[in-house]
Amino acid sequence: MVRFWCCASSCVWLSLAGFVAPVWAESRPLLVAVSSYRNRPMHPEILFFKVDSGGAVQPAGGIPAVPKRSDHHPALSADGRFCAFASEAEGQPCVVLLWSLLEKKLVDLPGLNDSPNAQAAPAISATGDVLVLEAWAKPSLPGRWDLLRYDVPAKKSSPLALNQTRRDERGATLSGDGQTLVFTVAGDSPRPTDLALVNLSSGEIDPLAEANSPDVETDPALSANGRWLAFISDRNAKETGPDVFLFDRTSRSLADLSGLNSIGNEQAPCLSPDGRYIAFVTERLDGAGERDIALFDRERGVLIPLPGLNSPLDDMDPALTLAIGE
Amino acid sequence: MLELGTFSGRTCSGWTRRQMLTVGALNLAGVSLAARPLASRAVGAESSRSPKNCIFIYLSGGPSHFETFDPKPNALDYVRGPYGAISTSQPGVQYCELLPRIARLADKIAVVRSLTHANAGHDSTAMATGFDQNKTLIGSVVGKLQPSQTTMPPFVNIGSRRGDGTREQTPLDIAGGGSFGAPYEPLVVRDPTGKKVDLGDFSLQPGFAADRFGRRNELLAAVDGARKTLDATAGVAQVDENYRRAIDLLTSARVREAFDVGRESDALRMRYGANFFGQSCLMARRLIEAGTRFVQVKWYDCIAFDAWDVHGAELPGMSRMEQQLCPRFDQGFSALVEDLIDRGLYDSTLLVVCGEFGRTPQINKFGARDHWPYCFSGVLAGAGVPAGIVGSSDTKGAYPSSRGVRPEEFAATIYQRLGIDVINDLRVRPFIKDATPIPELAG
Repeated sequence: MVRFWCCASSCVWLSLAGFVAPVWAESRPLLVAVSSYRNRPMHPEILFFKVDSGGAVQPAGGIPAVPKRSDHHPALSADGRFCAFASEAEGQPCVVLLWSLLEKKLVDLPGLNDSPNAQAAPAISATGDVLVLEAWAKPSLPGRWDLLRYDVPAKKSSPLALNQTRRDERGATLSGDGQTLVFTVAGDSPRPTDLALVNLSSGEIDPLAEANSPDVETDPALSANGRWLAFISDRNAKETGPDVFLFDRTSRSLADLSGLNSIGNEQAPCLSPDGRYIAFVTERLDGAGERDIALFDRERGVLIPLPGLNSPLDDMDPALTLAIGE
Repeated sequence: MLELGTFSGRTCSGWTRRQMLTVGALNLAGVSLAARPLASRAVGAESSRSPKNCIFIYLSGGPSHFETFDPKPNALDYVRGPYGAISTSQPGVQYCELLPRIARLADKIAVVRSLTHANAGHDSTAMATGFDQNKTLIGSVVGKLQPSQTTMPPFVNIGSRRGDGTREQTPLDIAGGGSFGAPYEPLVVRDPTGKKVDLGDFSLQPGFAADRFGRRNELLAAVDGARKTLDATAGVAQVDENYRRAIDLLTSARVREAFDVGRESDALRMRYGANFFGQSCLMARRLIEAGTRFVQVKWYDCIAFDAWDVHGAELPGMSRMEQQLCPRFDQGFSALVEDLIDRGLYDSTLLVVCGEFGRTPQINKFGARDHWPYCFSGVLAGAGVPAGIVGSSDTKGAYPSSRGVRPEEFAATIYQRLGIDVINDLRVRPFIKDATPIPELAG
C-alpha cells in the first residue's frame, strides 16, 4: 500500500522565514493535470486525474477541448480550484486562460490577452489570485520574452521590474503566496539559460548560484511552500541526458533524487505543495507512449506506477497539487 | 516499394498488389511485395573510390538554423531568438544551447552554414534529391550506381512516407526510385520503435514453418510457368526478382535481426532515446552494420505536429524546440555518432543531416519562425569528412555571407564521399546538374 500525504480539505498558509507552509488536516488524493494528445493527435488538451493513496488513478475530467485549439502548460493552484493554461487556436497567437475546477468554466480575465503576440506558460499562486506568464514582444514590456504579472481579483496586469530588454525571461513558477518567483534567463551572457529567483515584494534577485551550472537549466518548478525548487539541467547530458534536479532553498544545496532519473530525457518537473512528490515527463522504453508522466515519491525514493494515466500518444506538461474535496 | 509495418505498398509497372500476390498461387504471409530486384547485376563500372555507407537524416518540416547549428547570440532581438549559444568541442564554434550533446561532438562533424535555394514550400525535394523537380532520392541513385552485394536491402527509409490515405502526400513522398523506376524505391520501415509496429510482421507468421516456406520457394519454378502466360513486360521480370528478394529477406535470420532493435540492450536503446527518432537512428546503425548501403531516417511523418515546422501558430510553438525536437535530435544523433565510433563504423559511414530549408531570421508574432530557404544549415560527418564549419551566414542568418552552397553541390559532396566520382562518372550528372562537390568536404 502506498501511503501518500497528510493534507486538508482546507488549508492555512503560514509564512515562515520566507516559506509558506501548508497545514493539512485530512487526506486528499493528488490531482494531476496533463496536456495530452491521446484524443486529438493534432491538438493536445488538458486532462485531470486523481491519484489516491493506494496509487489508483481515476480520470477527473478535463478542460473541454475546442476544435483546432491546442491547450498545454497547465498550472494548478495549490488549493486545487484553478488551472491556468496556454491555449493556441489555429492562426492565432497563444493566449493564457484560467479554468475554474469548481465551476467548470473559464474565469474572465479582462486585459490579460490584449497583446498581439504570443503569451504562454502561466504560473499560478496557491489560491489562484496571481498569475505570471511569459509574453513575446508585448508592447508594454521591454522586448523579446518577458514576464507579466496578472492580479486575478483586481483584473489587472503589471509588468515586472526584472524584465530586461536584451534578455529573455521565461518559464515562471510561483510559490503559493505568489511572492517568490523563479524563472529562466537567457541572453546577453556567454552562459546558456540559467535560473533566477526574485522576491516580488522586495524586488531582490537571487541568482541561485548553487543551483545553476555552466550548462542549461530550464523548467523551474517551486513547491507551494516555496522551499523546494525542481528544475531540468543538462549538466549530465553526455551520460544521462537532461535530468531532474531538486534544490533545497533552506540548505541551499541539491537534494538527492536517486531513483528518479533515467539515461533518457526527463522534462517538465512539478512538485506537490509540500515538495514530497515530483511529477515529470520522461521517455522510457517501458512507457505507454514516447512521452509519459512519471511520479516520484521523494520520501521513499521510488517511482509510483500510474496505471491508466499515460497513453500511447504524448502526455506532457504535468501539474500537481491536492484535489479539492468532493 | 516494400513496406514493413503496414501493407499498403504500391506496385511497379501497373501491377496491383493483389495481382502480384496471386501470381502462381503464392501468398507470402504478412509481407507486402513490390519492385525490388536483386541489386547485384552489373550496372557499369564502379568508381575506384572505396564505397561508403550513408545514414541520411531528414528533419522534415525545416529545422531552424538559429536554434540548431547557427545561433546568432549577438543579433537583434527579433533575430536572436529565445535561446542562447554554447561553446563546442570545436574551438571558436558555437551551437544553440539546445544541442549540448552534439556540441561535445563538434570536433567530429562538419556544419555547412550557407546552404541556399529558393523554394520555401514543403514540396521542395531539393535537399533529398539534389534539386527541385527531381524525383530520384540520393539513396536510389547510390543503389543504382553502386549495387549492393549483400542480401540486405540496399536502401531503407525509416519513417513514414505519407500518402497512406490519412495524410497529405508531398512531392518528397513521391520521390523515390525516380528515373530508375520502382526497383530502386527504398524499403520503408514505418516505425522502428517496436511500440507501434509488430516487427513480427517482418518474420514468418506463427504456424508458418520455414520448410513450408522453402517449398514455396520451389514454387518459383511454377511461377515462372505462370508468368509466361502473362504479358511479357519488364515489370513481370521484376516481379520474379521481387519474389526472390522477398524470400531472401524472409528466410535470412541475419536480415530479420538487423531490423530488430529489440536485440540491443535497453541501456543502448535508452542512450539513443526511447522515441521514434532515437530508435530510428539505432535501427539505421544496425542496418548499416549488417550491410545496407543507404538508410534514410525521416523525422516522424506529420509535419503539423511532430516535425520541425515550428511556426508558433496552431500548435505549441517555439517551446517544441526545447521540449521535443532538439532534445530528441540531440540525443539520437549524438548517440549515433558515438555508437558508430565505438563500433569502428564511423570512418566508413557518411552521416548527413538536413531539412528542406531553414527558418526566418525574424521571429513572428507567435514567437516562432516561418520558412526560409535562402540560408540554412546542414551537417556532414563520418566517412573521413573533416570537422569544422563550411560557409557562413550573415549577421541575421538571412543569406550566405560566404561560400553559398546549393543543394546540387551538397548532393554532389554526398555522392563523392560515398565513392561515386562525380566528375568522371557521367551517370550521376543528371542528379547534380553542373555542380561540383564542396572542396573542403569532398576529400
